[in-house]
Formats: sequence, structure tokens, C-alpha cells
Amino acid sequence: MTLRDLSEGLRELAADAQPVDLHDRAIRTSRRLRARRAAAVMTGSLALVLVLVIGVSLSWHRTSPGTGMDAAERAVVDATDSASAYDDGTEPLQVLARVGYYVAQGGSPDSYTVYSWAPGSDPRPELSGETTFAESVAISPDGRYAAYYTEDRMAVADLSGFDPANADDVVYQAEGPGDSCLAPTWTQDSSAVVMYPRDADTSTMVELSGGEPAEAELFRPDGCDAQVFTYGKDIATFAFAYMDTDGNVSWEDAGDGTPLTAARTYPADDLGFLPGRLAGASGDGDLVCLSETVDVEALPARPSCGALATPKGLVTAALPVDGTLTGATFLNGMFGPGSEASSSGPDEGGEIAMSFTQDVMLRVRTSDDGVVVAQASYTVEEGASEKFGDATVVDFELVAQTFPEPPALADAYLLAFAP
Amino acid sequence: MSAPAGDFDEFVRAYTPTLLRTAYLLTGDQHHAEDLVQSALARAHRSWHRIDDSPFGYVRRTMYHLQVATWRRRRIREWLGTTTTEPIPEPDVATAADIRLTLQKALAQLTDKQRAVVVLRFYEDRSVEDTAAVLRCSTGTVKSQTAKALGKLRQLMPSMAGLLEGRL
Repeated sequence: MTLRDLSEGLRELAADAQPVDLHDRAIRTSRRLRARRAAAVMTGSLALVLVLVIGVSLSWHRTSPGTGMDAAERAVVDATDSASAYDDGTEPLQVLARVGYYVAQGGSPDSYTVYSWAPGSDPRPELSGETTFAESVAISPDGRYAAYYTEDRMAVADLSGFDPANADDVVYQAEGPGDSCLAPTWTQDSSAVVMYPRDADTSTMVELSGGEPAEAELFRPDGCDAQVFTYGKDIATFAFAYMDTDGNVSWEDAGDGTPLTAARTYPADDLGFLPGRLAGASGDGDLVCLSETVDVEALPARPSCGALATPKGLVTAALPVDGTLTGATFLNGMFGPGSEASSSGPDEGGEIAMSFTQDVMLRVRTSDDGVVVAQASYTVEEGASEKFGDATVVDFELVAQTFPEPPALADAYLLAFAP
Repeated sequence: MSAPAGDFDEFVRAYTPTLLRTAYLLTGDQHHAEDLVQSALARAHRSWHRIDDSPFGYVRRTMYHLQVATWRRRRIREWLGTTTTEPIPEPDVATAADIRLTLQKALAQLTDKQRAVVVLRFYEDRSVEDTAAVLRCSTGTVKSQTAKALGKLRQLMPSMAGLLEGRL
């Protein structure tokens, strides 16, 4: 049998399908999905209220999604906002620093290990798992926890002194696998994580800061396209960003699906990116990554970031930029062979030196033009006199790190930097 | 330009047979194929006002995503039962019906992603790049999954020994 025979065989086999009118069934399913979503929103709202009542430290927040407050009162990622307009006083700049986490393949094709690494030290293995684990593992911003899926459960491990033989280090687990296309997402303060059961219409929020982990259900957009971010620090500000297959990007509150800002349409096909799925979102949702495919066999479920978008528009801005740079942040990206980066923080001389071959985005902020983004290979010296394109650098908050070079690093996936 | 909501009925009537044929190959079962198409149509119905230009493309992609990414394993595994790598008995003088049956059994032994790749590449005659775009994976993954799928089919159906001699 040849490939042509195979094609003909498939066509003959497909012809065995009996035509059926599915119109009414589809409509009923659609309505049922809508009803379940509404119920989930109510459940999530109640859970959030309970969380508030039992005293989780949300007192510094004016409002909470899902508690009936008017959307206009909430902190929003608004096209007209300046970059520091969030109501809780937090800066939208996601702080990443010092310790890098990455996944590298090792031993066998289905064996992966999460390593942490800091300059001047050897990489430290944190925990290991199979492909499903590697495709999902997400390190909390403070570096304390790792949330991940396996083939039959979702779990959160405490990495502080993690011992694989000690079941107590797994601080949360739920039966049933997670959705392979939606990795867990942490709040910026590491107090909660959102995970996605594979066969559910809702997402599961796990709150970790109040002793025993507490679960709550949240709204979940259709499909597997959502990226989760927090527009404040904690569980009260979870939100989703997602792109549909026609390139429409929406930012929605996770509590009730209320749009946080107007949807934007990006002609992803024309730009050479994949519509239908975002590759990632910054922790505050201010930037989302459009997807492009890369030949990274080891971890195929995570597309790389090809361009960035914000509620303000597409920002594949190349340097030089106008204005004064006031901050810089790396977003997670795929490191390919040949990528390297080195740096030292402001307290170490203030140099950022980078040379990336692909998919690493530097996020910079100017004093007069909000956030801009560049994919770049350049050196920046800290200090008011340093020129960065046409702009003057007055400060930067963040740096990249040089990775060590274990044998399998070419297939490593950068997970996060933590303080 | 958004698709008019009223066109949903017409769209379902026009495209359901085509979608069912693809879903039948993806699931190997009439009822599961109906469920898959129904789920994809339901999601299209919910998002109908946001679907521009090509509702068929949207539903088709949704169907693949549901099958491969989110909805898939439990039902398929229920239907497949235990997988095997033992060759499937093939009749000495195969009729078209025999070939279909043997092929159906062999497809059932593939993983969801392998089956999806086979359907996209050799039923829909999509390129590696198009297949990667639909499945949201790399072209390298498509190639490796294709090779694995054809290798498994060849193992299961010795008469398919020539499969790997062609394009990947």
C-alpha cells in the first residue's frame, strides 16, 4: 500500500459516516454550556466572597471581581491608562530577577527535570517528571512552589527543601489530569494558582496563603486559548487574555468574564503568526505573546512568542524608541541553541548584555510612552547618560541571566525568574 | 465582517456532512463523531457573532482542538480498549470493505495526535505547515508524528510496508 492508497482508503472510510442533522443538538449544547458557565461564575463568586470573609489579606484592595462591583470601579488594563495606573498601587512591571528556572530533558525521552540556577552556582535539580509534567510545570513568582500536571492529577509542590520521597512536600493535588494546553498560572504574589482540569468547563483556583489550600471554581473561556494574568497582585485580580482563531484578542475578568478593555484584532496570519492561541501573557496581562511555531521537539506544547500585543496595539517595536527608558523586564521565552545572556543588576554595576538568537523579549518602559518592547541584542549601561537608541536609560529593574550549559540545555525551556 | 447570526442554521446544514466525515476518521465511531461535531458547532454557535469570514475553518479547527487538546482521551480510550502492536489479520484477497475495516482498526491504535496528523496530511491533503498550524504544534512535531503514525500503521498492516517510502 502506498500513501496514495492510504489517502483513498481514508476517503472510503470517511464515506461510512452517516449524515445527521446536528443543528438542534448543537444549539442545546451551546445553551447548556452557557448555563454551566453562569453557574460556575456564581460558584466562583461565592467562593471568592468566602475567601474574603475568612480573612485572606485582601484589605488593601478596593474591589474584588465577582462580588458585584461595577466593572468600571475595578482596576483595568485600559488602553488609555498609563503603565502604572492599577488601583492597588502595584506597578505593572513584572519583577523577575536573579534565579532562573528551566526545564531540561535528561536520561530518557520522557524524563525532564526542573532546575534552578543562580549566577556563580551550579544548577540545582528541583523536581522531575514526564512529558506532561514538563509541558505544564509553572514556578511561582517567589520560587517557592511548582504547579504541574501529570497524566492523572494536578499538583502543587513546595520547592523549599523538596524531597521527592516526602509526600508532604506536595501541598496540593487533585485527581484527574490537567488540560495539556493550559499550564497553571500563578498570581504575582504567589498566593494562588489557577489550574485547568482537562474535562471541565471551569478552571480551578487554588489558594495557598491561608494554611490549608482552598479551592474555588472560576469562569473559563472556550477552548484552550486563554492565558491567565493578574492585574493586581493576588487572587482577586485573576483575568484571562485569549485570542480566537480570527485574531481577536480579548482581556476578560476571570470572575465573571467582564471585558477589562476593548478587544483588539491582530491580523496574525498576515503578520506571520498563528491565530487562535496566545503563547503567553506577562504576569500583569499588559503584554501578550502572539504565537509562532518552532521546531522544539522536546516541548511541543508551548509555542514561542513571536510578537507582543497590548491593549494599546501591536508592539513589535524595534529600537530606537522615543522617550526615556525607566524599566526593563524579560518575559519568558524559548531559548534556542546559541542563545546566551549575561547581566549584572544595578547593584553590581548595572550592565545588561544580551545576545539572543530567538524569542526573547525585553520589555522596557519609557517615561512618556508607556511600555514598548524590543527583541534585541545590545548592551545597556545603567545611568542617566546611557543612550538606548534615541532614549536615555535612567533605570532598569530587571536583567537576564547567563545559563549554564548542561548537555541538554538546547532543549531547555525557561520557566521563570524569581527574586 | 462578522457572520450573521441567522446564517448559523444554513451553515450547519451545509457543512455537517463534511465535518462528520472528518470527525469519523478522528474518532472511528459514528456516535463519537457526532458528539465531536456537535461540540464544535456548539462553540461556534456561542461565538457566532465573532466569527469572521470562514465559519467552516473555525469549526474545523475547533473540532481538531477538541479532539486533540482537550476533550479527547477518555472517550477514545473507552472505544479503543487495549492498544496492541500485533499485526491485524488481513485477508488474502482483500475487498474494499476488508481494507476499510483493517484500516479502521489500525487507525484506532494510533494516538489522538497521530490520528489527527494522518487525517490532516492524507485525508485533507494538508501540507506539513498547514497541519502544524491547525494542531498548533511545530512542523517538526508534525513530521515526527507522521513518521510514528506511518511506522505504526506499517507494523499493524504489513501490506502498508511501502508507506514510509513516500513523503512525510
